[in-house]
Amino acid sequence: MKELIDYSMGRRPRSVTMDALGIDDYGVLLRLLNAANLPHPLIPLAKRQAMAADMAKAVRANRLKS
Amino acid sequence: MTMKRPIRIVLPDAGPMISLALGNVLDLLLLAADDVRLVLTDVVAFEATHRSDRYADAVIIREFLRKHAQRVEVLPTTIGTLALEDLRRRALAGEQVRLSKDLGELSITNFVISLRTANPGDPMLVIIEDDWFSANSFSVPGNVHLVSTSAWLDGMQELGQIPSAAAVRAQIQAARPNCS
Repeated sequence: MKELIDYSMGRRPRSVTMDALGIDDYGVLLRLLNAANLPHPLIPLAKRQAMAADMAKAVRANRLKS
Repeated sequence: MTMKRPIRIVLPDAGPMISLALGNVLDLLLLAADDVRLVLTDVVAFEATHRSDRYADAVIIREFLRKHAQRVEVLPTTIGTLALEDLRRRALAGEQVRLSKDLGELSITNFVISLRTANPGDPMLVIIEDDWFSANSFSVPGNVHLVSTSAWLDGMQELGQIPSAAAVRAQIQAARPNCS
């Protein structure tokens, strides 16, 4: 459980967590997080918003080209 | 006006496809624009599909890639060229194979570094799972947009392509062990 919590909080890398849990599929790791009601790791909100805005801007700019 | 080029969604990490397969929302990858092209590195194509005899998510991904084969491109990488031939041979012989734990991450980092010399004209959205960003940060050319899976979902909401990124994340988080 500690491994899952650390991964969920972004304190432990994916590969190290999977190794510690003895699993070889990322989908299994995500399902274990879900079963434990732990959130999936997320980047900080401000960074996420900046990435989303940058992506939306790029897609809109491309739509305007002919 | 400059000439429009298809937007390429590049997946150097199998994580986003596996996440989206869990929520049965892989089709979202093709919604950002009408002419989206999907580019997978060879390592991702292998990692995401070679266990389709064992995992429901891998079956969903394999079928998605088959259905949209004309919009999907598999990109050879240095890491893939070095590592995959032996794994494929063993898989064909019926052996259970797995990528070594460092290979997937090495492949992502190697690919992102290679973007520094990418063609500056092609708009490219590179999607990598959120967990990768906690330990990695790279600068890339202006035409390349590195986004995490969750940021990409937020961007899709901002573009009006999905009503709610949070609802999609909740759908992904509803998948439980031993359920397809």
